[in-house]
Amino acid sequence: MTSMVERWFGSWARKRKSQWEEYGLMGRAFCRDWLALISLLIILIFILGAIFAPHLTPYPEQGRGEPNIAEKLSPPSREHPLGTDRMGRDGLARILFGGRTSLSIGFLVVAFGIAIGMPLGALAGYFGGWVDMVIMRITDVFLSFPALLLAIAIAAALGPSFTNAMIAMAIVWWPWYTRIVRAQTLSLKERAFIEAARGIGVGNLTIITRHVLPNVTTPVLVQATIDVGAAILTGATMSFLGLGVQPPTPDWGKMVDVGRAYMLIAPWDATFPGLSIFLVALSMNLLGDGIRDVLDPHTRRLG
Amino acid sequence: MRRGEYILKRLGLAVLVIISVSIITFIIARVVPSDPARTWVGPRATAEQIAKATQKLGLDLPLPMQYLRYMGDLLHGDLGVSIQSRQPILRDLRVYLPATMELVFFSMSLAVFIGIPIGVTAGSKRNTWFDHASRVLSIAGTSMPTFWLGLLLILLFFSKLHLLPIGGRVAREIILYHPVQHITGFHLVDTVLTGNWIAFKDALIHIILPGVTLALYDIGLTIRMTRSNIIEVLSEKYILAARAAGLPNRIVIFRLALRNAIIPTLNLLGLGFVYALTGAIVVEVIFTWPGMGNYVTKAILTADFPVIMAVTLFVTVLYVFINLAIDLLQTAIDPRVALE
Repeated sequence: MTSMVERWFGSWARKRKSQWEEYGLMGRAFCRDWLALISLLIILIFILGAIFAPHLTPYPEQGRGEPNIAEKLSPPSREHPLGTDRMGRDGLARILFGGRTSLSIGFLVVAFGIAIGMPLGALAGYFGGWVDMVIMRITDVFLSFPALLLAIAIAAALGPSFTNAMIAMAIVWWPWYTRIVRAQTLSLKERAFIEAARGIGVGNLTIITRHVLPNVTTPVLVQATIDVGAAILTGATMSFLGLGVQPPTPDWGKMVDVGRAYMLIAPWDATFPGLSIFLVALSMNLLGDGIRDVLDPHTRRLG
Repeated sequence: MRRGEYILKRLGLAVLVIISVSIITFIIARVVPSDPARTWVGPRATAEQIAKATQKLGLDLPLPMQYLRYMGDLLHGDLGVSIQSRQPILRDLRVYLPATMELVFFSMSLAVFIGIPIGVTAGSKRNTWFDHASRVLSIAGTSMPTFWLGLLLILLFFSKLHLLPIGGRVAREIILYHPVQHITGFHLVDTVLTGNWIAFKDALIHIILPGVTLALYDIGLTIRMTRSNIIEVLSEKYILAARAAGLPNRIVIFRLALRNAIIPTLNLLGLGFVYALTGAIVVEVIFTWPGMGNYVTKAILTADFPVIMAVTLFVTVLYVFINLAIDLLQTAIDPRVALE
C-alpha cells in the first residue's frame, strides 16, 4: 500500500509517509469502535434518504405537501408504513422530505459557525493584545445569552423562515468555536515551528493559514460533530415553536408540533418525526465520541 | 489581595456584560420589520393615530436617544407593555415567573439527587456494567428532543395508564375547594406551609411529568460531567497515597475525592440552570404549564415583540447574576480560582 503511494506521488508522498500511516491507524481504530460505526451508518441512511427522497417513496408529492384527505390519520399499514398525517400525507414520505430541512439546518449552522468562529479565534489567539481583548469581550457577551432564547429572539424579530432560523442559530453558535480555536492557538503559538517560520520572515497571515489553522482542526472537528446533533435538536425545537419553515414544507420539529393535537388518537403522526430527531442526534453524539477517541493518539493505539 | 482584585474584576465584567446584553436586545428589537407603532395601534388605524403612537413610543427620536429612554425605563422596572394583553410586562412576569422557577428547581433537584450519585458511582467503578448503563442514559438524555419525550410520557402515563394528568398546574377542584395560599408562589412549598395536603398531592402529580421531562437533559449532563470529574480527581497522586496508606475506599471517596469535585460541580449547576430554563419553554408548551415559557411562545405566535425582548433580557440578566454568584462562591471555597 505504501509503496503504491510512493510510486504514484513520489517525493511528496514519501515525506508524508508517517502521516499516511497515522491515518491508517485512525481508520482501523475507528472500525474497531462498533458503536461509532453503527452511528455513522444511521447518519448515512438518513442523509441518503433525504437526498434521494423523491425516488424512495411512491408518494413524492405527498412528501412535498400535497394533501390526500381521503386517507387522513390512518394508522401504519402496508400502503403507508408509518401511517398518514392529518392531511392524509404518507408518514414515510414526510419524514424523508423533512430530513432535507431538518438535517441541512444542522450542517449549515455548524458550517457557518466554524466559518465565522475559527478565523476570529485564530486571530484572537495569535495576535493577542487588544485584538484578543475585543474579540473575547464580544464572544463573552454572546455566550452570556441562553442559546435557545437568543435564537428565538433573533428568529422572531426576523420573521419565521428557514433562512432566518439558520441566521439566528449561526449567530448563537459561532462564539463556541472562537473560544476553542483561540485556546488551541494560544498553546500552539509557543511551539518551535511557529517561531522558526517567523524567524525566516514568513508573514503573519501565511503563518495563520498554513500552520495554525490546520493544527487546530482536531478539537474543532470533534466539537462540530457533536454540534451538528445539537443544532438539529435546536432547529427542531425552533420549528416546534413556530420559528422555522412554515407548512406545508415538511420539517421534523414542525411535524411533531402539528401531530401533537392528534397525539391521543393518532400517535404515529408525532412519534415518528420525533424518533428521527432522536436517532440522528444520538448518532451524531456517539459519532463525535468515537471521532474524539480516534483523534487522540493514545486511545487510537489502545485497541 | 488577589482575591479582592478578582472579585472587583468579576463584578465589573458582569456590569459590562449586562449593558452589552441590553444593547444587543435593543438592536434586535429595532430590527423588527414591521413598524412597532403600526402593530401597537392595530390594522385599522388612521395615519394620525399611527403618528400619535410613533410619538408616544418615542420612535421619532434618534436611535441613541431611544436606547437611553429604554435604559431609563428598565432601571425604573418598566419592561414595556405587552401588545397582546396591554398589561405591563413586569406584572405578567410576576405571575408567570414563580411557576417556571418551581419547575426549574424541581427538575434541577432531580438532576442533582439522581445525576450526581450515579455519576460518582460510575466514575469510581469504571468499565463495569453500571458505568456503561449510565453512559447510555447520559447520552440518551442529551440527545432526546424534550418535546418528543414529553409527548411520549403523556401518552404512557395519561392515555394508557391513567395515572397522571395531561397538563396544567392545578386541578379545577383545587382552585375552588382548596385554594393554595400565595406565600412563595411555589405550590409545593406553599401547600406544605399551610398544611393543605390535598392541594399538595395535586400539585405533586401535576409537576412530576413536566419535571421529569425537563430533568432528563440535565440528568444526562450531570452524570457525564460528574463521572469525568470523579475520574480526574481519583487519578490524583494524593488519592493513590491515601489508598497506599490503607484508607478504606469509602473514606477515600467521600472525604477526599468528593470535596475536590465540588468546584466543577458548581459550574455544572450554572450550566444546568440555563438548560433547564430554556428547556422549560418547550416543556411548558407541551404540558400547558402556566409559566414564562408558555408566555413567550404565545408572544411568538402573536408577534408580541415587546414581550419576547423583555423576557430575553430578563432571563439573560438572571443568568448573568447566577454565573456571577457561582464564580464568587467558587472563589470563597477555593482561593486558587482567583489565580487563573
